Formats: sequence, structure tokens, C-alpha cells
Amino acid sequence: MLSVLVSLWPLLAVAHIEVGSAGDGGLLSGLRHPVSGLDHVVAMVAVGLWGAQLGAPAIWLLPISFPLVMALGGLLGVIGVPLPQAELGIALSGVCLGLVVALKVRPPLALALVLVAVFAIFHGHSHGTALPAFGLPLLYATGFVVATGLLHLSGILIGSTNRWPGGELLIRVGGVVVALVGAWFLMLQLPLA
Amino acid sequence: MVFDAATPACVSRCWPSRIVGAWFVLGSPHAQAHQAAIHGTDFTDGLMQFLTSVEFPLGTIALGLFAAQRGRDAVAWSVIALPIGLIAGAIAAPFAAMGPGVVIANLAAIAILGLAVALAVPVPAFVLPIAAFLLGIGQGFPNTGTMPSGALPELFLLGVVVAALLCLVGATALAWKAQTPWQRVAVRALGSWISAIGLMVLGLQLAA
Repeated sequence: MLSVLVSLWPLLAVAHIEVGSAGDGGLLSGLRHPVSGLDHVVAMVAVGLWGAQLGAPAIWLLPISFPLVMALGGLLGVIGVPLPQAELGIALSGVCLGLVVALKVRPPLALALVLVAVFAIFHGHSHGTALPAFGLPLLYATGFVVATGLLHLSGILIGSTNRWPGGELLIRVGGVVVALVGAWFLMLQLPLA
Repeated sequence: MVFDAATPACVSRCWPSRIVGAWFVLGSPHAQAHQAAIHGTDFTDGLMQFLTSVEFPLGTIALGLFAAQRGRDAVAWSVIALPIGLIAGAIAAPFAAMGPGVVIANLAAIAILGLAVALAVPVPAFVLPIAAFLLGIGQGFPNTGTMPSGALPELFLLGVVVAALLCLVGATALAWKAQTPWQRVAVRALGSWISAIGLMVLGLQLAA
């Protein structure tokens, strides 16, 4: 395995999109981006928690649809379409998703998808706006999509404890924590002073 | 290779992969001490050219996942059509300059094929070889278009084709192994990730 990895060390790779790119903004930068902001992290985990709470088919529809809609939001950011109050939307996503988990809200599937999709647009826009600043956009995008997916997976795994005694309570407490973190970021965004 | 009874089971099981790994390392361009190795690295260069990028393996992996979702015939025809497309793209490369259209086409292919996997689109089996052929043209063109001077095109292209087939067959095997509902969902989630990556970078290319 080690020898195969050594052999994969890039020796001749000149036809790639990254040709001529400068900077070190690649895979690691992309992996770091979603986990570097607590507002992003709690919202992603909450999507997984809610999916696990709602059960099939939401448990797999939410993690499949979220990256796609997030990419659409990212596309808007990349091409420079402004999304007013994007950071406010991200903070609101934490509050709302945290509350629906804490209160164990079970809306129709379509409504749950729409709610998650709306927030995915805000998160994607934030990632997309940062994309042109990085030297290796394809690697950066790969990194942040993978990191986002793994955060969903973390939420689903935590949410799967609902089959254990006390697991449901644990998830709902998790929802409260997410909502509080979201509220904190919301306060930072709002000019309350 | 002979293993006695005292040989740990994992050693006897893993020796083929170790030989393959050692072969990769020994075939690297750093080992050019032999007269016979003048063109010995062209194959490896082609292989590495394909594998060390992101856009080429991503597109081919998405194709492999999609073909596996569509069944055995779709896989078989894709395995045939992809190398033909790669060769056709390689033949076309010397006659045309690589413009941004090729990059955009490859990124669009990633986005579309990934979306097709995520949605498990029920297309007829004949669509897959057409998609594989077009993807092959799009990938063969830039890969061999930037081949180092002095390299044997046949060997370099062989490396590219083998790398593409490795990705295609590997992804197909992965998707075929996914039998439980959870594993099938994981394959579709992987498709949505691939599509999301392609879509965002496509936007960046179009905006540039």
C-alpha cells in the first residue's frame, strides 16, 4: 500500500486545470473550510441529526440533496451573484435546524427538503464566494464537499443512537446545543448594540 | 511464490498487491539506469498523468458508478467504449489546440454523470457507451495533448487507458458490491458529492 502511494506522488501532471495556479489553497484548505466555522459545523451536523430523527427516506434524501443544492448556492457565489445577509442565513440555519431537532418536528418530507435546501443555498454561497481565492479550485471543492458530507455522516451516526435508551433525549439536547450556537452567531450578525 | 505453514495469513493473502506496488515504484521515472528504460517510463507517465489529476478520475469514477447502476450490459459496453474514446481523443489532439472548451466539457461531464448517479436516472443501456465514448474523447484529448516531447505516444496513451480503466472498473466493482439499501444510498451520496464538485468548479471556469 505504501509503495503504491509513493508511486502516486505527482511526477508528471501537466494537463490539469491547476496548471499555472499559485498558492496552496487545495484539498486541505477545502477540508478545513467547513470545519473552521462553528456555525457551519453545527448546521451540517443538525441536518444529519434531523435526517436520523425523521428516519427513511429523509435520512438518505437530506444528505444526497444537500450537497447538490449547496453546489447551486456555490455556483451563485462563484459567478458573483450577491446573496444579501448570507452569514445571517447561515446563523439562522443553526437556530432553525437546532429547534426542529430539539422539538422533534416532523413536517412532510417535501417541506423538510425545502427547508434544508434553502439553508444549503446560504452555506454553498459562502463556500463559493471563497472558491476563487484558492489556487486549486477543483481540489478545494473536493475537500469541502467531502468535509461537508462527513459532517452530515457524523450527525447521522449521532442520530442513530435514538434506538438506545436515552438516545432520543441525547439527540434533542444536541438540537438545543445547535440552536444555542446558532443564536450566538445570530447575535453577532444582528446590530443589537 | 511459496509460503510455509508459519507464514501469517495476511502475508500470503497480500503478496500480489505488494508485487503490484513494488512494480509501480520500480517503474517510476526515477529509475532510468538502464539502456532499455529510455522509453520505460512513458507508460508510467501516462498512468500518472491521468491518476494525479482530479477531474479525470472523478469523471471516470462517476461513469463507473452510473454504469453499475444500469446493469451488466451498460458496464460491458462502457469498458469497450471508454478506451476507444480515449484513443480517438488522443488522435485528434495533434490537430487542434486545447481550448477552455475541453476543460468545461470535462467538468460538465463530472457534474452530469454525478447527478445521474445521485438520481439513479433510468436511462437505456445504450446511453452509457455513448457517454463513455464522449467522456473518453474529452479526457484523451488533454492528456495526450500535453505528452512530454520524446515520449512514445503508444506507450503514454496505453498508460492513460489503463489508468482510466482502473478507475472505471474499480468504481463499478464498488457499486456492484453495494447490495444493502444503505450501501446503495452511499453510492448515490457519492454521486451527489461528485456532481457538487463538478458543478462548482464548472461555475468557476465559466465565470473566468
